[in-house]
Amino acid sequence: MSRPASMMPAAIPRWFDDESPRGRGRLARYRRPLAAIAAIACAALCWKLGHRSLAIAVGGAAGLTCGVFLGVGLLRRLLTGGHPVVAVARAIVEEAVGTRLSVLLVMLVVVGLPTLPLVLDPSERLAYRLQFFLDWSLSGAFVLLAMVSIAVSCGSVCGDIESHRIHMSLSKPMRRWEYLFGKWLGVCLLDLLLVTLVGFGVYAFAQAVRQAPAADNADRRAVEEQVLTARAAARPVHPRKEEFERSVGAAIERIRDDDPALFAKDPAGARRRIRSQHVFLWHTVSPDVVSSYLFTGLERHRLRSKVIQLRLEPFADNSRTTAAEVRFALWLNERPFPMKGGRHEEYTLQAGTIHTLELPTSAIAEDGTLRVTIANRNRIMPGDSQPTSIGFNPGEGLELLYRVGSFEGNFVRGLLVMWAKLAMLSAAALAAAAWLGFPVAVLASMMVFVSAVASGFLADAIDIYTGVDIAEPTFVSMLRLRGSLLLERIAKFEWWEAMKTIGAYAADGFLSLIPSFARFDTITQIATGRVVPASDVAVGLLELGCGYPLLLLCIGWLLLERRDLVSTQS
Amino acid sequence: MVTAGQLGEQIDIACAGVTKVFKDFWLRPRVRAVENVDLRVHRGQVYGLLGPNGSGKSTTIKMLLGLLQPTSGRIAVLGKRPKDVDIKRSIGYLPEESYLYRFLSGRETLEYYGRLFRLDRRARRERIDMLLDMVGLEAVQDRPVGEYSKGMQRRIGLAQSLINDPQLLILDEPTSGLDPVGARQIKDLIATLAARGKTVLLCSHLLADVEDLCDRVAIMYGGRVRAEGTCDELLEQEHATLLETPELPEHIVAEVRDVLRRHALDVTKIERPRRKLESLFMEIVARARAEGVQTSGASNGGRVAEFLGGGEPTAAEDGAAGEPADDVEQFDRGLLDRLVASPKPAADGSGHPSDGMP
Repeated sequence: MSRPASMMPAAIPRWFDDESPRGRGRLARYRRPLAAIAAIACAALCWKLGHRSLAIAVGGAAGLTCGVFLGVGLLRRLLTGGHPVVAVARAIVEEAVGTRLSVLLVMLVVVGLPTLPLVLDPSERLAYRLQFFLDWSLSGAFVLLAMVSIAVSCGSVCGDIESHRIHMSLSKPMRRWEYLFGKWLGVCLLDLLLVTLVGFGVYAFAQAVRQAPAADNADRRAVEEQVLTARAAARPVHPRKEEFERSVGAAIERIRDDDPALFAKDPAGARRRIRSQHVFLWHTVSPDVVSSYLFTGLERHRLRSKVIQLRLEPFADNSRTTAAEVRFALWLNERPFPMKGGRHEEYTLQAGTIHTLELPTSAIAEDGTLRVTIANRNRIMPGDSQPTSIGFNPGEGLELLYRVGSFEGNFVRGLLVMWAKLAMLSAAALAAAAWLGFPVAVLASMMVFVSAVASGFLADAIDIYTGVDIAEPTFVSMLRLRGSLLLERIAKFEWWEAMKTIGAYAADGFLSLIPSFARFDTITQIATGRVVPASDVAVGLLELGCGYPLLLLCIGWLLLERRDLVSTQS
Repeated sequence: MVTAGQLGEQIDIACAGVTKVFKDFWLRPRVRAVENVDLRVHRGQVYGLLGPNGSGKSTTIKMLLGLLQPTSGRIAVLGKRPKDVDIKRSIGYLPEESYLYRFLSGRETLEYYGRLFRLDRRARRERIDMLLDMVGLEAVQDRPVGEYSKGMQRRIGLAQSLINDPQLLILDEPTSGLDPVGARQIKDLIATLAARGKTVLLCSHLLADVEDLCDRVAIMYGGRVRAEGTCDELLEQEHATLLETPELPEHIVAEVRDVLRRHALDVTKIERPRRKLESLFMEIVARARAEGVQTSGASNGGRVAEFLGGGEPTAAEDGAAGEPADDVEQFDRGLLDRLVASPKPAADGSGHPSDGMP
């Protein structure tokens, strides 16, 4: 209600108390520019007072908020067509903007992202800080955006059904698949906007962190060559590959003759295990023995840097002792490395820690091969008769990394895959909401999300729970093995164990339906400066961004098509 | 048994032996909402579906719209199955409550529904302008629907049901939540649309509304149709005669009694006719408006949107919703004039529904 003019202080403009729709509109029109000006003033004040990180955080939060408003405006302009799918997509965008839960989650992203650089420990090496920032900001944003996708998708469809709004929409000439597809399109566009904003934000703050002083030159080089880059990895092959394969084959034959029972249940698994043992032995450098590892495909035209990195995680132990350090000498293509003052220097590294040794690209042979030879120089520990061996876990324990592209390109590719994952999640949430009520649909969608993120871990956990150990199982081998296990347990009247096996069947079946996000772990790849291959992006977009969503939307459509949209009548 | 093929063009809704049983999670029958319902609604007819709460009216309507699957029986709407999306281009539906997106403004709401009908931008804009004017929400078109009063939400609901210029209009409790002025306007609108050849299925438990508007009525109870026919057929009292005269003095009444006694008859009831409360209300509102008294919310509303298929105004249209046409002129002299302004001739030249029977 308007105050009488006589009671109004002269300093308050007349429109301030104007509560008519026109007056309210005028206030609303000034609200956003005023908030932006206030944020800029606040950031400028912080900068002036010397709190530069805080100034960047405030400015960043304001910038991201502006980005959200501008992006939503852009989406509104984009979704103006006269087609039901576009209409539904536009409506869900408006719904997301007007829903408290989704706004809260987006605000968490907008505020959390600029705040993260403030909590980085300045005593840490800059490369670690940057890695931490990239990893946590992208992972946190991904989880929050996944929540937004699930909340908006489930909330919209369940809300439409529960509030009967769907009656109004589906009594119009719109097919039910158009309704679901429109919802998905709207959520995907919203996700695209939010992922783009997160991308801009993370990139800008990463650049701000990059400007901070490094601990030393090596730290600065690590930032440029190991974090803000795109590196491919090469894994070693045995220098005498045929001979190695023959020895593995002979070992398999020998063990099969000695212990046929080992091959009876899972012959492929037994072969894999024997082979793994031989590869492990090859990755173990015994005292006074040299081991060679051949890296191929390193043609110089593919390299975009003067250095390549040997990434290794050594461990040094035997049955009695675990050494804290490893000492070894290195040869690159038979030449000792590094040479200092005409002397071949040895490396002394902490065991159980990841190390990166920079190697010159000039050491690579013309045919693109690099033979790395390692000699064990460990000292004899007190109470031991000989030094401990040096070992590397096959795979990530010993690999060569080389730059193949820019950080920016890699970052964009990683974000594309992140968006594809969100598209898949929103389709799963829509399919669930077409059939279930809001709380159950959210729960089901969250289960899909957690299963997709942790599918490898969950599969291992199920195997351990039911006492099954299959190395790299296939669906069929897993079915067969569990089947025989079930029969065996029933025959022994081990009912509880049999129940566990049946439970594992169901869990395995569920996991086999869910795509594994671990296959496309682009956030770790970005944070560790690893290249996100274009092939992975293509497969990710096709599989997670198109294939699975279409399948899930088809399931959702079938459920919605057969569903009576009034469930109870008195 | 009625089938879609047998109906011909002039029957817009046909139901034959329609039953709907709601089942629980275990697929056990839970509620028999509609049982063995037969209906026929002809083109241009205003058909009333009457019944108390829970009598199966809304369920029947939802089956007609394809939102619910009948458990048994057959339904044809505009000659096709209710699930056929094409027929929905010609159907307007106003549910018993306006289920709207609270965050969309009035104009955005109509934009949304206009897009569902694949109307191009220009057509949408024109129709939305006309409909907002018609339902009197022009001034509040940019306010979120969530801030609307219930009556305003009903008005926007009505506007969305007309945006496609429907041949068949299905109105579920159209006057619920409206003040008597709004209710009266909707009743006038229904009468006008019917006069222009539209078919209207009106579902209500307000008996006066149905009696005023409907050509035929079906009364449902417990999911079954208990009575069906025209209002006259259902309401006529065959054993009584009503004479209406100017006020009679006592001695003339005595003379009338004498005449009747000579024929072995008697007067059973003598009373002064009363006006309807609705007409008194309209008169008061009209007088207040004439005096320029301000009110908030929806305005009086304007003329019927021009795009809604026209026809020659007939006697029925002139008389709109029954008795109080004079009163309407008093409360808003311009409204009814504009309601019947510049109508176009009906395609078949018919003014009244039952002409077009197959």
